[in-house]
Amino acid sequence: MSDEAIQRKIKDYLEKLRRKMPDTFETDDLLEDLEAHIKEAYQNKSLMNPEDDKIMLIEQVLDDVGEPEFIAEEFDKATISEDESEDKINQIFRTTMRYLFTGIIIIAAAWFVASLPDSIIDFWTALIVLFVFVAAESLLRNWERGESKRIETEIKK
Amino acid sequence: MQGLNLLKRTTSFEEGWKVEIRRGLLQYAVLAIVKRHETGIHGYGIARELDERTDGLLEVKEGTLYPILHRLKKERLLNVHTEKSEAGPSRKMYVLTGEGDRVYGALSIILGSIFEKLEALRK
Repeated sequence: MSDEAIQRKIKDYLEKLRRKMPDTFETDDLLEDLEAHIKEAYQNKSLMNPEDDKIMLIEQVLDDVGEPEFIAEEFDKATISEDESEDKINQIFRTTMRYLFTGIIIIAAAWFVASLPDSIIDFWTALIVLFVFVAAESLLRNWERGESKRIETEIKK
Repeated sequence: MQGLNLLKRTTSFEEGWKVEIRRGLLQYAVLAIVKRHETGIHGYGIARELDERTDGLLEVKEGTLYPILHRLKKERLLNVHTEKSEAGPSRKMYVLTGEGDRVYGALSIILGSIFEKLEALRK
Protein backbone atom coordinates (compact mmCIF):
# COMPACT_ATOMS: atom_id res chain seq x y z
CA MET A 1 0.00 0.00 0.00
CA SER A 2 1.47 3.37 -0.98
CA ASP A 3 2.25 6.32 1.24
CA GLU A 4 -0.32 8.19 -0.79
CA ALA A 5 -3.10 5.96 0.57
CA ILE A 6 -1.88 6.59 4.12
CA GLN A 7 -1.79 10.35 3.53
CA ARG A 8 -5.31 10.19 2.13
CA LYS A 9 -6.56 8.35 5.23
CA ILE A 10 -5.02 11.03 7.48
CA LYS A 11 -6.43 13.81 5.31
CA ASP A 12 -9.93 12.27 5.29
CA TYR A 13 -9.86 11.92 9.06
CA LEU A 14 -8.78 15.53 9.59
CA GLU A 15 -11.37 16.75 7.06
CA LYS A 16 -14.10 14.84 8.88
CA LEU A 17 -13.01 16.43 12.15
CA ARG A 18 -12.83 19.92 10.59
CA ARG A 19 -16.45 19.63 9.45
CA LYS A 20 -17.52 19.01 13.05
CA MET A 21 -15.54 21.92 14.49
CA PRO A 22 -16.18 25.68 14.45
CA ASP A 23 -14.40 27.57 11.69
CA THR A 24 -11.83 29.32 13.88
CA PHE A 25 -8.10 29.79 14.26
CA GLU A 26 -8.25 27.46 17.28
CA THR A 27 -9.59 24.66 15.08
CA ASP A 28 -6.65 25.08 12.66
CA ASP A 29 -4.33 24.91 15.65
CA LEU A 30 -5.94 21.72 16.96
CA LEU A 31 -5.89 20.05 13.53
CA GLU A 32 -2.21 20.92 13.11
CA ASP A 33 -1.44 19.34 16.49
CA LEU A 34 -3.44 16.23 15.64
CA GLU A 35 -1.74 15.86 12.26
CA ALA A 36 1.69 15.94 13.92
CA HIS A 37 0.44 13.45 16.52
CA ILE A 38 -1.00 11.02 13.96
CA LYS A 39 2.14 11.10 11.79
CA GLU A 40 4.41 10.51 14.73
CA ALA A 41 2.27 7.69 16.11
CA TYR A 42 2.13 6.08 12.67
CA GLN A 43 5.90 6.35 12.20
CA ASN A 44 6.49 4.73 15.61
CA LYS A 45 4.03 1.92 14.90
CA SER A 46 5.63 1.26 11.50
CA LEU A 47 9.09 1.07 13.06
CA MET A 48 7.90 -1.34 15.74
CA ASN A 49 5.85 -3.50 13.34
CA PRO A 50 7.62 -3.31 9.96
CA GLU A 51 5.89 -6.45 8.68
CA ASP A 52 2.34 -5.31 9.41
CA ASP A 53 -0.07 -3.95 6.85
CA LYS A 54 0.35 -0.15 6.66
CA ILE A 55 -3.36 0.54 6.27
CA MET A 56 -4.10 -1.53 9.35
CA LEU A 57 -1.47 0.44 11.28
CA ILE A 58 -2.87 3.84 10.33
CA GLU A 59 -6.35 2.61 11.21
CA GLN A 60 -5.07 1.57 14.64
CA VAL A 61 -3.49 5.01 15.07
CA LEU A 62 -6.73 6.78 14.12
CA ASP A 63 -8.67 4.51 16.45
CA ASP A 64 -6.29 5.43 19.32
CA VAL A 65 -6.77 9.11 18.49
CA GLY A 66 -10.56 8.72 18.73
CA GLU A 67 -13.67 9.36 16.67
CA PRO A 68 -13.84 12.90 15.20
CA GLU A 69 -17.28 13.33 16.83
CA PHE A 70 -15.83 12.54 20.24
CA ILE A 71 -12.90 14.96 19.86
CA ALA A 72 -15.21 17.73 18.62
CA GLU A 73 -17.44 17.12 21.63
CA GLU A 74 -14.48 17.33 24.04
CA PHE A 75 -13.29 20.53 22.35
CA ASP A 76 -16.78 21.94 22.69
CA LYS A 77 -16.88 21.10 26.40
CA ALA A 78 -13.46 22.66 27.02
CA THR A 79 -14.59 25.83 25.22
CA ILE A 80 -17.91 25.92 27.07
CA SER A 81 -16.08 25.72 30.44
CA GLU A 82 -13.93 28.70 29.44
CA ASP A 83 -16.97 30.66 28.28
CA GLU A 84 -18.80 29.82 31.50
CA SER A 85 -16.06 31.33 33.69
CA GLU A 86 -15.99 34.48 31.51
CA ASP A 87 -19.79 34.58 31.56
CA LYS A 88 -19.87 34.43 35.35
CA ILE A 89 -17.80 37.65 35.64
CA ASN A 90 -20.02 39.34 33.03
CA GLN A 91 -23.12 38.10 34.83
CA ILE A 92 -21.99 39.57 38.18
CA PHE A 93 -21.31 42.91 36.47
CA ARG A 94 -24.66 42.87 34.62
CA THR A 95 -26.61 41.96 37.78
CA THR A 96 -24.91 44.73 39.81
CA MET A 97 -25.64 47.29 37.09
CA ARG A 98 -29.25 46.11 36.80
CA TYR A 99 -29.90 46.46 40.55
CA LEU A 100 -28.20 49.86 40.62
CA PHE A 101 -30.25 51.10 37.67
CA THR A 102 -33.50 49.71 39.12
CA GLY A 103 -32.76 51.38 42.47
CA ILE A 104 -32.22 54.76 40.80
CA ILE A 105 -35.47 54.40 38.81
CA ILE A 106 -37.46 53.45 41.97
CA ILE A 107 -36.08 56.45 43.91
CA ALA A 108 -36.76 58.83 40.98
CA ALA A 109 -40.31 57.48 40.51
CA ALA A 110 -41.07 57.70 44.26
CA TRP A 111 -39.77 61.27 44.35
CA PHE A 112 -41.84 62.20 41.28
CA VAL A 113 -45.06 60.70 42.70
CA ALA A 114 -44.50 62.31 46.11
CA SER A 115 -43.81 65.76 44.65
CA LEU A 116 -46.94 65.93 42.45
CA PRO A 117 -49.29 68.75 43.52
CA ASP A 118 -52.03 67.43 45.82
CA SER A 119 -50.23 64.07 46.12
CA ILE A 120 -51.75 61.90 48.84
CA ILE A 121 -48.71 59.65 49.05
CA ASP A 122 -45.41 60.58 50.68
CA PHE A 123 -41.93 59.70 49.35
CA TRP A 124 -41.26 56.73 51.69
CA THR A 125 -44.65 55.05 51.09
CA ALA A 126 -44.19 55.44 47.30
CA LEU A 127 -40.66 54.01 47.61
CA ILE A 128 -41.88 50.92 49.53
CA VAL A 129 -44.84 50.29 47.17
CA LEU A 130 -42.63 50.58 44.06
CA PHE A 131 -39.99 48.37 45.64
CA VAL A 132 -42.60 45.64 46.38
CA PHE A 133 -43.86 45.80 42.76
CA VAL A 134 -40.34 45.53 41.32
CA ALA A 135 -39.42 42.66 43.66
CA ALA A 136 -42.61 40.76 42.75
CA GLU A 137 -41.98 41.28 39.02
CA SER A 138 -38.37 40.11 39.40
CA LEU A 139 -39.42 36.96 41.31
CA LEU A 140 -42.03 36.15 38.66
CA ARG A 141 -39.46 36.60 35.84
CA ASN A 142 -36.90 34.37 37.62
CA TRP A 143 -39.53 31.69 38.16
CA GLU A 144 -40.49 31.80 34.46
CA ARG A 145 -36.81 31.58 33.46
CA GLY A 146 -36.32 28.57 35.77
CA GLU A 147 -39.38 26.88 34.27
CA SER A 148 -38.20 27.34 30.67
CA LYS A 149 -34.74 26.00 31.59
CA ARG A 150 -36.35 22.96 33.19
CA ILE A 151 -38.48 22.35 30.09
CA GLU A 152 -35.40 22.78 27.82
CA THR A 153 -33.46 20.21 29.89
CA GLU A 154 -36.35 17.75 29.75
CA ILE A 155 -36.61 18.15 25.97
CA LYS A 156 -32.83 17.53 25.61
CA LYS A 157 -33.11 14.38 27.74
CA MET B 1 -35.12 -9.28 33.65
CA GLN B 2 -35.22 -6.95 36.64
CA GLY B 3 -31.69 -8.04 37.59
CA LEU B 4 -30.50 -7.32 34.06
CA ASN B 5 -32.06 -3.86 34.15
CA LEU B 6 -30.43 -3.16 37.49
CA LEU B 7 -27.03 -4.28 36.17
CA LYS B 8 -27.50 -2.14 33.05
CA ARG B 9 -28.44 0.91 35.12
CA THR B 10 -25.54 0.40 37.54
CA THR B 11 -23.05 0.02 34.69
CA SER B 12 -24.25 3.16 32.95
CA PHE B 13 -24.13 5.01 36.27
CA GLU B 14 -20.51 3.91 36.74
CA GLU B 15 -19.65 4.89 33.18
CA GLY B 16 -21.19 8.33 33.59
CA TRP B 17 -19.40 8.84 36.88
CA LYS B 18 -16.10 7.78 35.30
CA VAL B 19 -16.55 10.28 32.45
CA GLU B 20 -17.29 13.08 34.91
CA ILE B 21 -14.32 12.38 37.14
CA ARG B 22 -11.92 11.66 34.28
CA ARG B 23 -11.95 15.13 32.74
CA GLY B 24 -10.77 16.86 35.90
CA LEU B 25 -8.19 14.20 36.66
CA LEU B 26 -6.90 14.33 33.11
CA GLN B 27 -6.09 18.02 33.40
CA TYR B 28 -4.15 17.26 36.58
CA ALA B 29 -2.37 14.29 34.97
CA VAL B 30 -1.32 16.42 31.99
CA LEU B 31 0.12 19.09 34.31
CA ALA B 32 1.95 16.36 36.25
CA ILE B 33 3.51 14.91 33.10
CA VAL B 34 4.53 18.30 31.68
CA LYS B 35 6.09 19.21 35.03
CA ARG B 36 8.37 16.17 34.77
CA HIS B 37 9.82 17.52 31.51
CA GLU B 38 11.49 20.82 32.19
CA THR B 39 12.62 21.27 28.59
CA GLY B 40 9.12 20.49 27.30
CA ILE B 41 7.17 17.54 25.96
CA HIS B 42 5.02 17.20 22.83
CA GLY B 43 1.41 15.99 22.68
CA TYR B 44 2.31 12.51 21.45
CA GLY B 45 4.82 12.15 24.29
CA ILE B 46 2.17 13.17 26.82
CA ALA B 47 -0.25 10.57 25.43
CA ARG B 48 2.43 7.83 25.57
CA GLU B 49 3.50 8.70 29.08
CA LEU B 50 -0.08 8.95 30.29
CA ASP B 51 -0.83 5.50 28.98
CA GLU B 52 2.38 3.92 30.28
CA ARG B 53 2.47 5.51 33.69
CA THR B 54 -1.21 4.96 34.51
CA ASP B 55 -1.52 1.56 32.78
CA GLY B 56 -4.31 3.04 30.68
CA LEU B 57 -6.37 3.65 33.81
CA LEU B 58 -7.91 6.87 32.48
CA GLU B 59 -8.82 5.20 29.14
CA VAL B 60 -7.99 8.33 27.21
CA LYS B 61 -8.52 8.63 23.49
CA GLU B 62 -5.35 10.43 22.45
CA GLY B 63 -7.18 13.08 20.43
CA THR B 64 -9.06 14.30 23.50
CA LEU B 65 -5.78 15.44 25.03
CA TYR B 66 -5.53 18.34 22.59
CA PRO B 67 -8.67 20.19 23.70
CA ILE B 68 -7.29 19.87 27.25
CA LEU B 69 -3.85 21.16 26.22
CA HIS B 70 -5.58 24.01 24.40
CA ARG B 71 -7.57 24.85 27.55
CA LEU B 72 -4.49 24.74 29.82
CA LYS B 73 -2.62 26.93 27.33
CA LYS B 74 -5.46 29.44 27.28
CA GLU B 75 -5.52 29.48 31.07
CA ARG B 76 -1.76 30.33 30.87
CA LEU B 77 -0.80 27.18 32.79
CA LEU B 78 1.22 25.90 29.83
CA ASN B 79 3.56 27.60 27.39
CA VAL B 80 4.34 26.34 23.90
CA HIS B 81 7.41 26.39 21.70
CA THR B 82 7.84 24.60 18.39
CA GLU B 83 10.41 21.99 17.51
CA LYS B 84 11.23 20.32 14.20
CA SER B 85 9.83 16.79 13.97
CA GLU B 86 11.29 13.87 12.00
CA ALA B 87 7.77 12.65 11.23
CA GLY B 88 6.64 15.74 9.30
CA PRO B 89 5.34 19.13 10.42
CA SER B 90 7.02 20.88 13.35
CA ARG B 91 5.50 19.91 16.65
CA LYS B 92 4.59 21.87 19.72
CA MET B 93 6.52 21.37 22.94
CA TYR B 94 4.57 22.12 26.10
CA VAL B 95 6.22 23.50 29.24
CA LEU B 96 4.74 24.48 32.57
CA THR B 97 4.48 28.22 33.28
CA GLY B 98 5.12 29.67 36.74
CA GLU B 99 1.35 29.87 37.24
CA GLY B 100 1.01 26.28 35.98
CA ASP B 101 3.54 25.16 38.56
CA ARG B 102 1.65 26.97 41.31
CA VAL B 103 -1.71 25.53 40.19
CA TYR B 104 -0.23 22.03 39.98
CA GLY B 105 1.07 22.36 43.56
CA ALA B 106 -2.30 23.60 44.77
CA LEU B 107 -4.18 20.81 42.97
CA SER B 108 -1.81 18.21 44.45
CA ILE B 109 -2.67 19.42 47.94
CA ILE B 110 -6.41 19.44 47.17
CA LEU B 111 -6.27 15.94 45.65
CA GLY B 112 -4.20 14.59 48.54
CA SER B 113 -6.70 16.00 50.97
CA ILE B 114 -9.68 14.59 49.03
CA PHE B 115 -8.20 11.07 48.93
CA GLU B 116 -7.28 11.24 52.59
CA LYS B 117 -10.83 12.23 53.55
CA LEU B 118 -12.36 9.60 51.27
CA GLU B 119 -10.10 6.95 52.78
CA ALA B 120 -11.26 8.01 56.24
CA LEU B 121 -14.88 7.68 55.07
CA ARG B 122 -14.29 4.11 53.93
CA LYS B 123 -12.97 2.98 57.34
